[in-house]
Amino acid sequence: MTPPAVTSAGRGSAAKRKPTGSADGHPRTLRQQPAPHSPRRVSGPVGGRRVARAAAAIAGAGTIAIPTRPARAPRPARPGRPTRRAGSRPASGTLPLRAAAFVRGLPDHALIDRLVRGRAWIPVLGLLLTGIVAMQVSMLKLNASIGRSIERGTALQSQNQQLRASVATLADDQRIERIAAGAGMIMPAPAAVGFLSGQPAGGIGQSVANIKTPDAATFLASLPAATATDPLTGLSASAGTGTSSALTPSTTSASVTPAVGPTPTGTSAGTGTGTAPAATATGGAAPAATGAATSTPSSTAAAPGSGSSAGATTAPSASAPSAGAGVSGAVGGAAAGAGAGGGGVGIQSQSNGG
Amino acid sequence: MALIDRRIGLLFLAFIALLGVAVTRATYLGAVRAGSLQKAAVTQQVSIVTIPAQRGSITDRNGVELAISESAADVAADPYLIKNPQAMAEQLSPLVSKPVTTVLSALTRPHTGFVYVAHLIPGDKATAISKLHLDGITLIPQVTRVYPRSWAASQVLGTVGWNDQGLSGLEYTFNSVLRGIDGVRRIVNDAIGQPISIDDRRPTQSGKTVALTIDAPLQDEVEQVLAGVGAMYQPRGATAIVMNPNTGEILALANWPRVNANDITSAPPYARQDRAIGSTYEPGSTFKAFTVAGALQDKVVTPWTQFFLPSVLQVADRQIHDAEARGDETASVAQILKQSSNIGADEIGMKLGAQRFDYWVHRFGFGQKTGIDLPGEERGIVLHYQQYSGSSMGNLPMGQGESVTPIQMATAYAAIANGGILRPARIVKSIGGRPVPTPAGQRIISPTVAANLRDMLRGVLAPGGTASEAAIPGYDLAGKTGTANKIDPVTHQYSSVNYVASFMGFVPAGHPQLLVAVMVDQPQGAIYGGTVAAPAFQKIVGWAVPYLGISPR
Repeated sequence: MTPPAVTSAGRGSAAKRKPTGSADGHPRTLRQQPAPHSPRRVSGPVGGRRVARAAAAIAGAGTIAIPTRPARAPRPARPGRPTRRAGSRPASGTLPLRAAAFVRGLPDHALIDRLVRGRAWIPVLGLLLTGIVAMQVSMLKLNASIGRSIERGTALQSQNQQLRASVATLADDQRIERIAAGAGMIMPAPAAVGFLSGQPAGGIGQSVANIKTPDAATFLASLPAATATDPLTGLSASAGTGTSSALTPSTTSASVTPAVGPTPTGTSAGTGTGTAPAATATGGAAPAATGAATSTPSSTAAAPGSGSSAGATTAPSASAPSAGAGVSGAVGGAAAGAGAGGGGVGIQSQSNGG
Repeated sequence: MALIDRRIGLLFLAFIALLGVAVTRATYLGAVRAGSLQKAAVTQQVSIVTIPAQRGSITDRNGVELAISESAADVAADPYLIKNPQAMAEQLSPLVSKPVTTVLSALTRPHTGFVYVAHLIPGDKATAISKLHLDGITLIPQVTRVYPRSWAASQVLGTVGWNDQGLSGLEYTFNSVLRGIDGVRRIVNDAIGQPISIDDRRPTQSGKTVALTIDAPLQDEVEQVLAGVGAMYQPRGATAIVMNPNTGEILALANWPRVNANDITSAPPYARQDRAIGSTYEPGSTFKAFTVAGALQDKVVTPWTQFFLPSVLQVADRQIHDAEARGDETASVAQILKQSSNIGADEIGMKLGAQRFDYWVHRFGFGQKTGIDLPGEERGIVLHYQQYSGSSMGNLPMGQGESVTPIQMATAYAAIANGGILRPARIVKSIGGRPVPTPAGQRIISPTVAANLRDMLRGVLAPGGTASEAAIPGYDLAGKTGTANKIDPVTHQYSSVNYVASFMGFVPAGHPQLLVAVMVDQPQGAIYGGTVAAPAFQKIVGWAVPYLGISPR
């Protein structure tokens, strides 16, 4: 039997942490001088000759006698272990070999050994465990958040599509025309739209000269009170229902009636590119389109529709000054109504081969 | 002390026993029943969902949405899981727009674990249902097709059927492009059904947007004009095509009666058909331009060549008359076109010869498809000259005896308008943002002949022409009227009651930028192209020229 001894070498570091028993059997905490550093792992059993020597030395000094394990027979060194001191830099060899040697010796490095033996590992491990749990929780939260975001994205995409459809529906020209017709506006007939020639000298100057400040009284007076119906476009414009309370019709200035029969009679004459007022006309034998456009000095236009028209009220009108782009007429209900009448829905039936 | 130790020992043993029970139970659940429990867990927590691909939009040339897909959902129920079907039916009924009794019968259907409650309910209502958290109710994501401008170009756009498959129109032609690829998503839910993991096994690929050459406002206007024609003449149908003759781009293609694209099934089959490409008719006098074009190109005639026109022309067993009774007279080629003389056209055709006439008919693309990107295009019926009878040259040159489609006529007139190049009409501007190239086309007549023809066709809208009422002051217009008898399906003879009135025209006549073709099938009250179709042309041109910024002359 090996006498009780204290060892500080090798794995005997447990002596520093564990209470050990004294010779009389009472547990006692041993606090002693720091042991000399040695490689964390050495070949051979814990204890052995060195332990025995140390125990004997301590016993000889009359200090402490601590029971210890019996010494075992030394084992042969494990093959393949590096024999030189861990962490020491290899003297020679290529860089990969040296790196491999360094990595192999890392577990036996003194710094690692100190870290592993330290008590700081307990809170560190606790912290790491807590971190892992927290990370898992946060991952779950993140996944849930991603799921919600995807659902939200899908919902927003769906909403976006609905809004796009709404925009397309609201921008429907026929819908806008219906609303405009309800406000007393109708589309101008082809003949009511005039184009000015772009003569550099006279045309533009004349056109610019024709632009005058709108007269509110004239406009209000020109608003139609009658209902204008364009048989070709199928629009029924209830005139005189302006969007503003100020737009109250006071006079009947246009009346457009579709020609229902194939043989309408009469002729229609309208002139000009004006936006303003027109006159009421009366139909011939068959209900016919009526109306006349106003004139501007620059151009004249003959409405091709049939039906007798009478009278034309002239008024200054805005007209575009450039060639090919001058579009006039038809914003105000009265003028537009007249233009549409002249536009020719009452067309004479004629015999032709074509 | 010993008592305490014993109690502690007993307590320890009790805990050990409990632990043993727990371990045994855990072993049983984890080993013996592991398979079934795992399946149950997967069923409850993991779901594989097919995410339908967003079908691509169809837009007009300026990006206005004509067809768009919206999220929707099918509502399905597992009657086994529904505890209070009456209350659930009352909750679901307003959201699925079905009577309570209908919903209740679905929720209580026996011997099944899956039953559809409703199909393709809108996304907002689907969201409302999901917020109810009803046990046994499942929402299956779907996509529904919506046409924001319900009536606009509905026959052109076509329809989409079950499972997002295009059935007709452009939806059918470009189904593979519009359709996209459905995605597959794996969702893991927690105990309360909240997703904690979403994994896209296969990403969803949305369909591509198909941009058309159609201009939505112009399309609306053309449809309104046709609606006016329909209201005035109560025809069986009407078709109008507006195109750029220089590129072959179709700017508007409308059919009347109109069809609500969002409720296509309620329309009769005739209305659903895109008659611009899918119906044939005898063109009548509008065809005379091609007779003259061939004769001019072959240098058989010039615009000033005079023809003696008897009051009646005998061709084999047939007597050919003009529309207006007249005596014998002499007229130039230009006058023949202007007055649309049947006898004059026959004289020109016979001078050209049957074989060359047949050549020019085919040269202008009749009897073959134009190649437009629309399904169901008809070839028309054009005889080969070897099949001509003795009287064929009495009616073919004036537009009788052959059947054409409106798109063929528009394409052929575009060749006259653009200086002699026959170019296939096209309706798709770009796919997925990538422009579709303009077809090269092929020259069929010389620019001079085309210019001569345009000049002669001016006369049709001039005073004394057959469409003089359709002229617009200040506009340089050219065109040709057409009035053709239809075949009576009973007698198989030309009907004296039913006609097709048509008009082909372009503006400005000198260098056309816009071509309009109008065909009215069986108008009532008036029958002539100059009376029925030409005013529609006038309306369309009068609106389109300022809108498109085209110089009218």
